[in-house]
Amino acid sequence: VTLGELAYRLVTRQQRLKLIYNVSSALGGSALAAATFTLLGHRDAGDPVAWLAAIIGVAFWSLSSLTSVSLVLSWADHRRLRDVLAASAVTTATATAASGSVGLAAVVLFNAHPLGPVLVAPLIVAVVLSTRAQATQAAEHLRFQRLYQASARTMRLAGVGDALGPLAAEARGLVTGSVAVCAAQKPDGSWAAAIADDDGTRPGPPELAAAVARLDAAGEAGVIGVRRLPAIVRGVAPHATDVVWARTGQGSMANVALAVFRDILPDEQAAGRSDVLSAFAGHAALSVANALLFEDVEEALQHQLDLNAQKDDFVAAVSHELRTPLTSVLGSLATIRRIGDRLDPANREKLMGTALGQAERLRRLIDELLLTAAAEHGNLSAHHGAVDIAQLIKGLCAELDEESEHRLEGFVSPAVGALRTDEGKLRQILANLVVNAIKYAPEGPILVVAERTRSGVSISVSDNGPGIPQCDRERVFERFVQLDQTSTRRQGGTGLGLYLSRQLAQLLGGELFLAESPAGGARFTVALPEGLMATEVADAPPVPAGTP
Amino acid sequence: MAAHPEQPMRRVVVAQDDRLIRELLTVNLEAMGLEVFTCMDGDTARTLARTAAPDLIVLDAMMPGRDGLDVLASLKNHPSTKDIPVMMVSACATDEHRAAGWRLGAEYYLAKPLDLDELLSCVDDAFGRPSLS
Repeated sequence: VTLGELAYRLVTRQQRLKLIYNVSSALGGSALAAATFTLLGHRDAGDPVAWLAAIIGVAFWSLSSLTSVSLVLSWADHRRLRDVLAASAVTTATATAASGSVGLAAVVLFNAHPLGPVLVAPLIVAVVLSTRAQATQAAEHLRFQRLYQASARTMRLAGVGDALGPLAAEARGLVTGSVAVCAAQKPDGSWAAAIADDDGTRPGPPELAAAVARLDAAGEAGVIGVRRLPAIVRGVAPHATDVVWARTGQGSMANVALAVFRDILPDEQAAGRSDVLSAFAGHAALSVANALLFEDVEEALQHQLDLNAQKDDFVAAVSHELRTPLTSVLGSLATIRRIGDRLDPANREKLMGTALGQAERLRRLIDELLLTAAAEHGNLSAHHGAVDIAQLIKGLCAELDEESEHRLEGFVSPAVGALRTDEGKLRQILANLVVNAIKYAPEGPILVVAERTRSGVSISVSDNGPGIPQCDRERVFERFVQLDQTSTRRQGGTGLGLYLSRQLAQLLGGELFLAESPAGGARFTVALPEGLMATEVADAPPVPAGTP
Repeated sequence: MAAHPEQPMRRVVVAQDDRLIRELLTVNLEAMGLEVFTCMDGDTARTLARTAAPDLIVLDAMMPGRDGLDVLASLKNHPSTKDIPVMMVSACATDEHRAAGWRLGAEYYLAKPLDLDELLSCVDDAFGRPSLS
């Protein structure tokens, strides 16, 4: 019997054969009890030895049946032998005891009349049917018990990436498959997947996740034959015979799909398994939604921490930026007062130049801070007038000549002429760009070139420095961004300059952009339009609401 | 404060990459009657310390190439330079940084932004002269 059952379990697993097995197993128990009793008791219904032997025979039958079935089940369904034994012990014991009693009843009735046993036939049928129902119920109970346990084990808070693996592993255990895939949709619409098999869990490709989500079993759960699977899904477990599949329905907290590959033939419990998997998909959606929420919260927290760190850095940078020029101003003035009469005129002039230049630098920094504050509150306004660009650039070059160590050169095309714009703001932009060039390009000329373009005037500031990598060319315009942290420590700066310059350029109706200069350094260009009507209108004093 | 004519001029090496501070220090130290050698990086500072035989080295902690603390360590480890007083000037003036400077043998540790009066009185102190103030 044991070998036959093993062969049956391994090779067929067909429903009809299983029924035959169950019936023959019950009849076998009855027959063994009856035969033992008849042989030992010789039709004596009162022989205690015969009764004892029959009961022992039935117990042995029961034990061998339980063990063989459990061994095969644990091997075929990847379950622990102890679990299987515990789960089927009661059912098997009841079934065998019932069939043994029926066998004994048949013997006693046969002794009364040869046709007596016919009377117990309906009883036999009833016993077989009830054990079967009981077995199904027990299996159902077990499945849901495992569903609750699996759900409880996957309630831990973690990111989506960390949540999918355990969910796939639990789904695999629930449906007793060889490989499981858990796919979930992220807020950006893309899909992520994790695969669980004998070796543990691992992330799966997004294409697999999307394919698993698109499977169709005429509803939201079911069993799909391996031939109906797309190649990418089949590739996960090439030896599988079918896939138990479930996905979350409309209105679920998150979109999740589960696919569990099995390499055994379908049995009558497949529908039950897909129900359980469907229930688990609902739980998995909850887990994934939690994980997404967790990620959001974590990201928001990180953002806050970054902002705080930026603010701290900014305060430190600003205080350093304010104190450095102040040191030079105070130092120069103190020196002049103390030893001015002994200094030669050139050195004296140099110290005066330093004091003035650094005081100017302080003024620019304070302007920059005030303008940035205004830009933050949307309070920037432009005051347009006719600006002689050549004159402006000449003045700028003179002002920054000392600071640039005489590297600054301005070229203005005669076609440029005058432009209607805000002189102070334009000057602020250009001074910013030049000071940046002085800081980051310590050698080589710094050129300020103004040209007429088709739509207006462009003024570019270019240097021979290291330039700015392509990937950072937009980032430099963000607030507080200073690219090279090692040079930041040395060069100082608040990280506001380019951010403010772009805001100001836009205020003037123009643009500020960055390209590589022909010499390999950085080249910033302010493009200003000729017609400035729109900004001039915006600059008009505000008209109270309701006034015609 | 002028040097005594019979004494040879005392020498100071100023290693400082900030041009304005370098110039300011040069003017003031020269006015004190000192001969000033300047440089902008750590390696040159070390070379100057060995070749110019200065009586004092004013060393910025953060310079291109070899940084100030590194130069300090190598000066204090070399027999020809270990007895020259060193004045560190650093933007990092936490207790830890000061302790690091002192451990390596710096005689003075000044914080940036630089207080010129403080620096000059430290120079007087290094030469055993009464302070300016």
